[in-house]
Amino acid sequence: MRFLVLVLFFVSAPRRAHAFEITELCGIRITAPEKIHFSATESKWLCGEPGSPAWREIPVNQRKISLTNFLQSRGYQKPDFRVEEGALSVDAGEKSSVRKFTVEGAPAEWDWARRRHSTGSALNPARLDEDVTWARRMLQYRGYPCPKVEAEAYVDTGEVHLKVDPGEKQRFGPVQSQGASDMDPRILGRFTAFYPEDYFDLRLLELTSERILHEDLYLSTFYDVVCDENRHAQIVRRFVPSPPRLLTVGAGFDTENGPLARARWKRTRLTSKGDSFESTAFLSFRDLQLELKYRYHFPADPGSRWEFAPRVLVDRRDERQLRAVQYLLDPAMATSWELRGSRLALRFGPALSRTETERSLVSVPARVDTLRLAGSLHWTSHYFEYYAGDPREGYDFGVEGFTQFGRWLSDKTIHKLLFKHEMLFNLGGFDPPFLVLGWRGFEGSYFYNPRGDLRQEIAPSERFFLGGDEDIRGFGRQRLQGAGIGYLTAIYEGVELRFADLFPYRLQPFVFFDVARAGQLTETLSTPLYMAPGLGLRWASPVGTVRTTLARGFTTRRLPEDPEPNGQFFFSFGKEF
Amino acid sequence: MKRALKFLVITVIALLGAAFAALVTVWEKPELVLRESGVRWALAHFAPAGFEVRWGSFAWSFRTEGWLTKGTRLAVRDLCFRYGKVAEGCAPEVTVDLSFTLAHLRAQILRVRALVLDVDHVAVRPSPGTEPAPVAALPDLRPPSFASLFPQAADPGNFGDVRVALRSFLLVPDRGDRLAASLALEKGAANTFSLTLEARQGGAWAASVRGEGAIENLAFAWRGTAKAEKPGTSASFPFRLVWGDAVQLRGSPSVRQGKRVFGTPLALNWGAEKITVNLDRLTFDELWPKKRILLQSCRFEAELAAGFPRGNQLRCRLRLESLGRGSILPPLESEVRAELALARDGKSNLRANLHVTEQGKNDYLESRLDLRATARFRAGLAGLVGTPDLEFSGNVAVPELQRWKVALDRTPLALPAPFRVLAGPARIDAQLERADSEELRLRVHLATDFRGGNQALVTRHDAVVRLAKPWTGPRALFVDANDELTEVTLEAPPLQLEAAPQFLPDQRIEATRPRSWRAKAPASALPVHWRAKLVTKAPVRIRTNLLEHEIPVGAKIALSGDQGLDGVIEIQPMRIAVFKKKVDVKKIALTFRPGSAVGDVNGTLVYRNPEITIRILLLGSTDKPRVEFESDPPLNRQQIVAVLLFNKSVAELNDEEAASAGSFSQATADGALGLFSLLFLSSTPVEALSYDPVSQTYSARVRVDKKTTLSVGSDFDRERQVGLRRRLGGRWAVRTELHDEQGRPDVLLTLLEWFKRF
Repeated sequence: MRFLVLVLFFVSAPRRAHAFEITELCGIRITAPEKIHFSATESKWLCGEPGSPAWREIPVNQRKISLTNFLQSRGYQKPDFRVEEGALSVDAGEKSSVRKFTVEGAPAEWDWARRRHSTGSALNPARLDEDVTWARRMLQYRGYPCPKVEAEAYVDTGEVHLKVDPGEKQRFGPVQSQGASDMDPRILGRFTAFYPEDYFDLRLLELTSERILHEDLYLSTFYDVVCDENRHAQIVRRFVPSPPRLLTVGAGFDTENGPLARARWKRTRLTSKGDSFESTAFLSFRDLQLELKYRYHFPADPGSRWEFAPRVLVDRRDERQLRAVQYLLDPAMATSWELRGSRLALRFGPALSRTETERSLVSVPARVDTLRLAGSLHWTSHYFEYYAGDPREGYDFGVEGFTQFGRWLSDKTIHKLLFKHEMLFNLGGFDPPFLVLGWRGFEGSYFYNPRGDLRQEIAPSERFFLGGDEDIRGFGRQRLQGAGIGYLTAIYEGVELRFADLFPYRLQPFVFFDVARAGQLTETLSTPLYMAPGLGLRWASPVGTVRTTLARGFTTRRLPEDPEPNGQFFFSFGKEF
Repeated sequence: MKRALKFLVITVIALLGAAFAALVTVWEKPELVLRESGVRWALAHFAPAGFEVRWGSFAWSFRTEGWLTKGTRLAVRDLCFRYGKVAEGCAPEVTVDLSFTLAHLRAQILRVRALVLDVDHVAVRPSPGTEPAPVAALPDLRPPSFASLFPQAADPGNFGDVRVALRSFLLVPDRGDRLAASLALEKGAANTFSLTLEARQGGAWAASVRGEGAIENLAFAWRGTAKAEKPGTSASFPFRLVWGDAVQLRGSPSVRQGKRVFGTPLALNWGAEKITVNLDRLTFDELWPKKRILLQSCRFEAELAAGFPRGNQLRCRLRLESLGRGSILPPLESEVRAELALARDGKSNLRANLHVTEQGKNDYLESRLDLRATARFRAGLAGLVGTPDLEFSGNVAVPELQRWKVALDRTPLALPAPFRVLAGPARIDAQLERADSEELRLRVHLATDFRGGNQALVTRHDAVVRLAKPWTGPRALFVDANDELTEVTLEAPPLQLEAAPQFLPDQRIEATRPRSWRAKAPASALPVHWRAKLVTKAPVRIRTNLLEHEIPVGAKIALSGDQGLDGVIEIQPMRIAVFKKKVDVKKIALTFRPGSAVGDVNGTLVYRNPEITIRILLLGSTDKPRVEFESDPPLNRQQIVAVLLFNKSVAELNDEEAASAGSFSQATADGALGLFSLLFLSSTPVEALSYDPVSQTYSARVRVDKKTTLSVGSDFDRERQVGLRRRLGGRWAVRTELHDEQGRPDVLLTLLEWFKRF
């Protein structure tokens, strides 16, 4: 008990109130609440440069002036200097912090008060620069490409005040291109995320650049916003072409698949319209994939988004309940449309598939061949795409399906429809976000007549299995497997509430709740309701996202084939909710 | 006629007889007239309106001590008076008992048996706007002799009980703090008197005088101490005063200000024909750290002709010397002489001629100042009449700056780097060119000739300082300066391959918030309008450790308090290394226009090799400079940057170099890479450069030597996390993509990638 009281005393005592650190440097003694680390240049300006006669010796008064500036850059606005026997003694005083943040002249559509961390940080020039840059960017997100922002700060009130002159609200207008000319610049229209008549939004310019880079057509591209004397913006697109061959080797990790590896070889610029060929090998303990893709832009207009995109896929999956190899030939057409704030991507075409099951918990055909008409439609918001590396807002809806014809290689006509969705909400609209609410899920089923088990027509590897990091996280990967053969109908919904900016070091805790149901027949949900509350931690590390989750599965009624509900831990690198 | 004359004579004689009889009667029996009722009658008829007096008891008696000698005793208890709102007071006891005689029809006091004035309080509220009574041009400066005030017949031994006490005297002004004072005078044994006088005005000041005096041989000798205090300062003046026919004052006044004490022996002789004041060794310690200003001697002398001062002379010797050991600064000595001639000008005005000269010469400072002034004053020196005539000329020279460098070390005025190694002379000449009712015009010329440590600071400055309406107002000060930099070579502060330290205080951060955002600064009592023109006769040369060659800078600018900066600052043709390539700077001009805080940037740098000529154009403004590129044969921006950064064509760039070229291009377009950053990055080979447009920060990997690379940048902590593909450096990147797995939810998958393009 006494130990507990002692611990509580030390924890609750205001130890920092009288804490100070001593920094000593060439006869200068600085007392401050923290150790002051001077850069090499600062040290030379304080202590002198032995190699320079003019700067070899720095007098005390000059040291005072330099120290005043250096300390101001660290938030110490009222240092007190004393000279004792030739040595300079400095009491840095309290570190000034921002206690109030105000903006004058902001347009109505910008709620600057939603800025987080507007108070509390050190009051110094860097902070003012950061505020100016932030305010300029916020205005550039909202139609004002050429804003003027000035910052002022007052030590006594701790106030940072921004004076904003947003200028005229403008639309994107035409975009000039400047760069290498070995490709038709109209190709870049395939990636453009805005229309000229849209209001200016810097994020859409950057998203367009990201899409172009992602396509590996260019090494570097960016949009230069040139403001003239009348503060009217002209957008200039600049780019550096990429060599046509790209070899990539990537790695990741999660507790479901263990180490992940992906090797990719891509040949771009096959034609003047930017056709490409790509081969990818994906390797993990559970999944081996080899994929060949070709993208042929057949329309005469190089800016058209229509393309013929055949692919060949060999996918070998080794799960607990089965081991199967799928061979897929998918000569599909693809295109996309840019909507206001979103993109609609369509892919459709025939698909010839062969699935060979090597191992299964139940008796299934060793080989299933099908000829299908498959398609997918994805509706993705621009902000979902833009913030993909740091998910915070936007939506992504997808519809996938196929129709398998009974007279062609298969005995029965079967349809599959899968609806996927993911929505992210920045609760309160703060910047940076404080709470991010995510909602994701899918609903899928096979449709056929008459109703019954389709053990012969649908390979187990194409059925629905539940459990794992990608859906209901309270159960092991694909452990909800419906008597070992999978489900023909499945529903999963999960919500996740993430504290995006609560802890330091980019650590983001979150809580989540997943639910799922499934059925072994078409349009039927026969299983009990599976639930998985849990919590986790996300770390946006400099080399990618690390996530861990800890959840426990529950069920309203346990079936004999279901696993024993218990705690489940997942660790992943690179995956997001 | 005779009868009428006879009647008139008899009547006059009768009246004279009656008057004499009345006088004799009053002399013999004064109490017939001088009594309480008589005093009341006199007060009722002759006192000014509003003056009221009342008392508790009143006793006035007379006694006859001889034919012509009388004694009288007046005893009043609880005497109070009020004069409207101007004054009021009460005295519990007033007792006067004295003997007097008539001599030549004038009363002379022979003995004071008792003088007791016990005054409880007196309060005075001066009525505002009271005009001072007109005085003569200058009062008669001859001191009255003590004997003329004190009757020669009075024997100091005849003073009996003398007690005067004023416990509370209040002077209540219309504005400001009230003045409170008290007084106690008491006769002691052996004809000595003790006096205590104390006064205080709020917290502004307090003063006291304490001492003892005696009257001997028709002279008044007084010994005491006067003290005064105000916040932060106190003064003490032990003195000895002898007041006979002349006044002699000896004392040692001293003033304490904080830890500093200034004191000097003082001798004042004030006679009917001459006034002399001698000060001896007045020291001002620590006005300067470890330095002392010593007033070695100072003598003021004025001849009085019938009370009027003529031939006034002041002569002082000043000395600046060091305290403690170790300082090589020798004493700086200077002599100040002043002559003041006063003459009556008309009935009540005064004419004054002042001539002040100062001269000093030593190893540190040579000075010669000469001031002549003639002015007319109203009576009592109450104000100027007309315009004074002024003449001034002077010069101050510093023979050797290095002596001052040593002398000023460890003081707030220590010479800063890089000027500390400069040596040589400087000289200031000043001449008053015009002095009339319209303006005072002073022409000042400053020349420096400092050299040392491979630096030079040879400059000439001419300034005209004008004070408009100097005597009548409204006054305004105008300063017009012309500065010529004849030969200036300076070394810039040492820089490292890292973010530059904060060089100046950030003016955006203020100590206190103004009450109103657009609060106007209070109008100055003396508005100052200044304008300085600066011209470089030869380019100013700035050395920096980042560049091999000096930077030649020319300037032709005007700087004024009203219009700001106006003119051109230009980096003149030179050769520099930009990204390890020899580049010719054709010019970089910063043009400032009146009223604008930012200047236009216009610069051209040219790089030539046998295959290509590249022009780097610096455009935009000083707050947002822009970098553009041109080439011959024409190349696009990325190709030019590729050549400049890596000496390769775009086709030859590897992936990282190409990305760096793009980042460099974007950073220059955004203005994130300013002039300093360009210079900074140009000083060393850049291996890779990345740029974050969200925070507008860059980071660069530069090669320090064959084995060492260093990462530098504007801010590493604010890199954003968004983006589908983020380069980590070299051939490494983090790539995020939407992973579409059949029959499963879409997941965002991030992989750490190694890549190679070819």
